[in-house]
Amino acid sequence: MIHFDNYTTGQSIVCAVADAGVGIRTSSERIPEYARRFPYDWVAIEYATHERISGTGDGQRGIGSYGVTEDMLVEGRQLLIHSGVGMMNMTQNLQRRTARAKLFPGVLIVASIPC
Amino acid sequence: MPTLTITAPKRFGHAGLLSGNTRNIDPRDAGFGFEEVTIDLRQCVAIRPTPTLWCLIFALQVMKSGASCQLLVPEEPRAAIYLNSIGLFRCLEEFDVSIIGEHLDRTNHYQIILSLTKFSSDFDAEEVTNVIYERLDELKLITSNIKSTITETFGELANNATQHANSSIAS
Repeated sequence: MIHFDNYTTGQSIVCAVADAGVGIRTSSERIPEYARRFPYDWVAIEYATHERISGTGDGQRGIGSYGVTEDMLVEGRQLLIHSGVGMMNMTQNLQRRTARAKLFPGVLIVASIPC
Repeated sequence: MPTLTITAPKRFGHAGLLSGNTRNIDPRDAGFGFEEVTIDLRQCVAIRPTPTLWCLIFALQVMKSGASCQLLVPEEPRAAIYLNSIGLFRCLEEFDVSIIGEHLDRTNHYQIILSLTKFSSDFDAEEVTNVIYERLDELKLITSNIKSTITETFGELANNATQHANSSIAS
């Protein structure tokens, strides 16, 4: 879903995508190279946003999530990734924070872009 | 019959605001064990996009587990109209979730570019992304830079969802 949002200061466009799947950690651990690498959901989320990291295991892929994260590195933009009991939040001051969160039974990504 | 009622707070900003043990109950677990689940939004006066999607995905996972699910609509008209306009009730009804409450015939699409839209393949995701591109193109007050960022962001997130989620429910 995408809509205008006046909740915070100024107007933004909020873009949100969610799925009811296995989650980022489980999806990543299906790749033998990543198996048992992630002790927690928030570790898997943070790792998934690195360059050339792909849930397909293909080193030539993995530009997309990294690219989305980089696109959000502009003052005023926000990005939230929530999967399982982990979340990563990139806030308006460009700080990236990962933490334990309440359960989301799938993956939720919300990008907020001032307009 | 084991039942679960999840009561949302007055200002539902994120799922972490849910009280007690209901916060981390996972309908995907084999030991979920509930046969009837109620998501009670009646006291909500404001609800953000994040918990809106939490309600949707949680309810769909409940239905997938074989339990029944009902959603009690906010009594505050603005909250109910927002959820109706964004398409939450329509999506839930497609999966036989019961929607109980008032204001179900009222919408306000003024601020909505794309309501909740289901997609289950790369082809679907590309079609939805094209719709977004066309709708943004009609908005004269947004710069082309912002339009392309939104379109590319949504397209990438949608592709990730279809390729990695392994969901029988779709995205």
